[in-house]
Amino acid sequence: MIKQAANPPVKVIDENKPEWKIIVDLLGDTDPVLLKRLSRKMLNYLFKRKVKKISKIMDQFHLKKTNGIETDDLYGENQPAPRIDYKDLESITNQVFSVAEEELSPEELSQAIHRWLRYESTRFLSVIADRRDVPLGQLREALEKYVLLPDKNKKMDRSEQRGIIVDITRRIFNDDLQYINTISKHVRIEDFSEVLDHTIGPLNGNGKVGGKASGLFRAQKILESHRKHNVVLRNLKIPRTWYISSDSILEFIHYNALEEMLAIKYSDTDEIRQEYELLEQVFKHSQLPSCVLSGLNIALDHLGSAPLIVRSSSLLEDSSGAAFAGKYKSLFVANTGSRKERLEAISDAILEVYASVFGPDPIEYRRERGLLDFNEEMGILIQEVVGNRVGKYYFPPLAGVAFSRNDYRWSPRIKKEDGMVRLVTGLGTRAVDRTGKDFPVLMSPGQPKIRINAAEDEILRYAQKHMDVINLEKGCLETVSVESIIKECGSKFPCLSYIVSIDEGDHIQLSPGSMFNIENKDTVVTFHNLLEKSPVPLLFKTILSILEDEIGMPVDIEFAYSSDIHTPYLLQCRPQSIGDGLADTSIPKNIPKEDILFTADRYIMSGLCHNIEYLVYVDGDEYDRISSRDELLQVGHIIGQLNKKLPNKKFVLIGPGRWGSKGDIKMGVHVGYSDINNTAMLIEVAKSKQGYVPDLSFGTHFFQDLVEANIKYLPLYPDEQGVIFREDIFSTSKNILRKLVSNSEEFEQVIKVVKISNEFSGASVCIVMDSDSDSALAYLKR
Amino acid sequence: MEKGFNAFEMAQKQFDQVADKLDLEQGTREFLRWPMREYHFIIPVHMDDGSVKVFRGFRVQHSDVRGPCKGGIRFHPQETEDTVRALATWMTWKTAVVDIPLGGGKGGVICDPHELSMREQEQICRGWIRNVWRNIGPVQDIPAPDVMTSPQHMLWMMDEYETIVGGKYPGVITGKPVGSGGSLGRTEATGYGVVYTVREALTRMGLDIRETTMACQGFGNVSQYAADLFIKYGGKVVCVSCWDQSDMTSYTYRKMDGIDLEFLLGITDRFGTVNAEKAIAAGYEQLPGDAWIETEADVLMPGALENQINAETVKKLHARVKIVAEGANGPTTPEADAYLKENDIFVIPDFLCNAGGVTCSYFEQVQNNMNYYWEKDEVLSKLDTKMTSAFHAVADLADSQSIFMRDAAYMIAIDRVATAARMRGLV
Repeated sequence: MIKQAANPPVKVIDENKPEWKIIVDLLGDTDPVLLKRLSRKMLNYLFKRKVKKISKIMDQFHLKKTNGIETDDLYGENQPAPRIDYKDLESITNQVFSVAEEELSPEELSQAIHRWLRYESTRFLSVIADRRDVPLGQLREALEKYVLLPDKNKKMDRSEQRGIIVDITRRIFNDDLQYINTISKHVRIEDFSEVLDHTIGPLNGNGKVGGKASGLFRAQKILESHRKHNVVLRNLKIPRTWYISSDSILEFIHYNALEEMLAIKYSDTDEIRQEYELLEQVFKHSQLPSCVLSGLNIALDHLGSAPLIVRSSSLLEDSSGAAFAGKYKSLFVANTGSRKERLEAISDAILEVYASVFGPDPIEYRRERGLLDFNEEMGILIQEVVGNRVGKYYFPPLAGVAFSRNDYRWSPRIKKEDGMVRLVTGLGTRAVDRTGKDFPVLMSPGQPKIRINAAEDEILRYAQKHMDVINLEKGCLETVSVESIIKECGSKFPCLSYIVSIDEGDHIQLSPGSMFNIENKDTVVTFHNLLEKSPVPLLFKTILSILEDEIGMPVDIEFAYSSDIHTPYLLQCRPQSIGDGLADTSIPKNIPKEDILFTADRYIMSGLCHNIEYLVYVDGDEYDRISSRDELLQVGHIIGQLNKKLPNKKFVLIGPGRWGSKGDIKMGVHVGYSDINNTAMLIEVAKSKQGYVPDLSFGTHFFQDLVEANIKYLPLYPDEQGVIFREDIFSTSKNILRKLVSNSEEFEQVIKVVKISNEFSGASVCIVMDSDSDSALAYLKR
Repeated sequence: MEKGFNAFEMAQKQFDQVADKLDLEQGTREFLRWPMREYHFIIPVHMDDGSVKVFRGFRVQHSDVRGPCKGGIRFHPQETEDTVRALATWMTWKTAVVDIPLGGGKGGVICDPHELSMREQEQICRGWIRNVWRNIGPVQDIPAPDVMTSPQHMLWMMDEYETIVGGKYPGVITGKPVGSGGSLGRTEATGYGVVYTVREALTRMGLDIRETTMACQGFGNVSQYAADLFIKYGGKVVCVSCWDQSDMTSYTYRKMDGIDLEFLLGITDRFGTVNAEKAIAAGYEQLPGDAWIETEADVLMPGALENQINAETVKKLHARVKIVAEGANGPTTPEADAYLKENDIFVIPDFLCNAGGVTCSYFEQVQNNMNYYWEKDEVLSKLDTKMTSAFHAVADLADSQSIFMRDAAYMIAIDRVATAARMRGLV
């Protein structure tokens, strides 16, 4: 038998002592701080179990002083609470465990203590996350350590878990409370590790990943958590993404001694505009800091050889109220060539995006919104371009943008909530931008079968004719004709039967079978099969409704498909900009009645037209009285001349019935798109005739032209109750028609042109349209 | 009553003027001034959202004294009875002037296809047939596509008709795709028809088509095929015009020594826009869209839009212009007509000049009825025969009575219908 050494004395373990007591005793000797935490948890545990004795212990913390005198009077709410002696605190610990011993079984006690001790294994994370300015490097390490813990050790108290999530969200994404609130419902701690593992930037920096990255992360997590209830979301993916933290731009500026750039935002806009090109070149000839370059090297390994897109993700971007849509750059990189060339190309793109922070347009946009003093930092998102290689080209067969609110309803059957998708084949750039010359297919996910273009000539005219692709041989972005690429790639073009219909010359075969021989056929982009026979409309309806509900505001998303119609990729998600991105299209309340020109309350889109200088009014009654077809046509002709003579977007056309009527021209003025393309707004008046209110066209004759050129459309129902329509203005004001169009005297009764500033001493007209309240107001702005 | 423009009143007024010239008896006038029959009905449709919506449909049969009625079906939200009556009347004159054994009709449904799903539109088409199947058919009345209706709509209608009647009757409707009962040659028919009449007009003037030039407005289906045949005959086409989507304007492309049609078609997209850069590089002048009208040419062929030749533009016509061939519907206003008359410019009126389309529809129906289909050459040669003899009949009358071609065409058409009615003992 081995005898024990004399020193140090070893406590003899009492075999009758329950396990929990052994642990408590041991902690009392070795880690009293931990023991106190355990006793606190035990106190709460017992309190929740409504153990009466524990209430007495808790009373010691607030109402009673040690001498037992009531404290209410002496220590009111504006006085500091008394401090309890440390010894008392220790005794409380003992009291808590005594009560626990009386009230709980040894097994329950033991289990609880074991659980809390396990929670301790994740405590390091909350300590790190709690630090507001914890460097990204440290946070990443802590998260990695957490992720590597065995699952059973990852368990923690729900409130603690939420605390960590909130802290990390605030640290790397966004301070916005609404954002944090939404994220915390859908995210797991491990998810942050995914982001930080792919974040490049100074290790000791305190940057964030920026607005675009935050928006995408939020949407991704929301949709992932809805996946189990919505089979349609099953295959939704996010492209492989890397982030560059927002403080990297500051690091870059210091690294290259470009500090004077930070003050450039306070210069005059013209000055900024003048200097911008030079500034961009200065940036392009500067060096990215080594921490960014080494990160990019790792990113390139991970992202592989697919083309990449470098997207801006600034701190201001995509916050509600200032979407910054299209203000900062997003650049495609073909990602071909040697490793060195690829790195150079991507660095070049990053530098150009950095330079765009100092561009005249975003600075002007910030100035307008009072955001100039905000310390703007530019995070960056590097994503693989979703797509497929076909021959020398790389592109997604389907891509586009989707809005949860439909601001451009082409039929009264479509509700705002039905949403709208702008769908293109090829890169989504053609759907995001409005070229005015080429057309995406517009679809309302809530009503996919009500199409804008019903007649065959409309389908042909408003078809997408060009697509944006990446030419891998030339290593650049290219716009090519859809037809030529289909002829070139033939059946290798992915999802073709979902994208095109066949133009047979004498008719359009909307729904081509899968066996059609594409080389010999003329095709036209309609997405007919996609809208009629695929789950895509349902998918968008689902995504948009979930995101709008969870985020609590209308949203817009960008998406693309790589090679089949079952695997959608979400590329971006942000609050839907209202109207022209203006924050406020709410109807002003304090307009004097005499300044109101008209109001409307049906089928209203959102938007704002201000500084309108002229109103052009075609009097419906007079138009009806015209007895010759030639004269009816002449009215359209005069409108066309006015369109050329009046200042661009400073006038509004108001006319009876359906603008652009082709067949029966009594239904509305016979004009083509080129006769109206300079107007700010097209208004159709539905005045009742013998108790019958005519249908309006909703601009369908050139609806897509209006959408692409951002011309607003408004239907007026002047005979409805509560609607104001100051028709008298047109009869009492001076008609300047003959001044503008020669030989138009005989049409002065029909066409009235009013110069607002002449009639109302320098005033202009402002038209506010608010789709949320479905109301519009036109008033004189004096 | 509204005093404004009324298409049917206008059609009646036009008829009255011709009736005066023909000295038609009162009974015949009354008989031809009004449609013979009209069907008005309602079509209930179960909408996609579960609701039921009722649409108003109709068919106007203006005259079937020369054969089954012929005319389109329109889907239009603000269709009026009077517009459809006017259009049915014009169809009677159109089939009569080219002397095909058909009458005139028109019909439609008050609806806006922009607000309807394809399934709902199909239900409307089938509902329309369920209402009038007794009153239409290969020997009664043969509809065709028109405003906002397509061959797809026609096929749904044909299918419904055949299902009800219990047999195969592709001749119930025309405008069907080739392979589903459509006729070859339909694409070429209107443009070729224009040039058949131009060729005959030049012959009557003693001009060799090989020494003549033609200026075309538009570069769509009509102008492309008109230019094709004109060049095949040895003539020169000196300009075409087109809408340029990217510049939001129209251009005339002119080459005085004659366009190379194959080249131009090669640089034109299917939506009719000529590639400006390539055209200019190849020596074409790019001029404003309305420059075609003042181009030096023997033949002016407005092939796309209404009211192109009006009081203002008609004065810009080049002195060389001898013929205006109206490939489009209504390209000349009455004021311009007067000017053309005064200046002795020969007009081939629209409803004769562009009747190649309706003639081909007639051939489609003929082929359907006998269930035997001709090759394209056969269709086009029969078209040539029809258009040529129709043209000469009108021109002969114009010559013999020294009247304007448009008046002669109306007189021939109305006289043919009146005669048929008289011979049947109807009037």
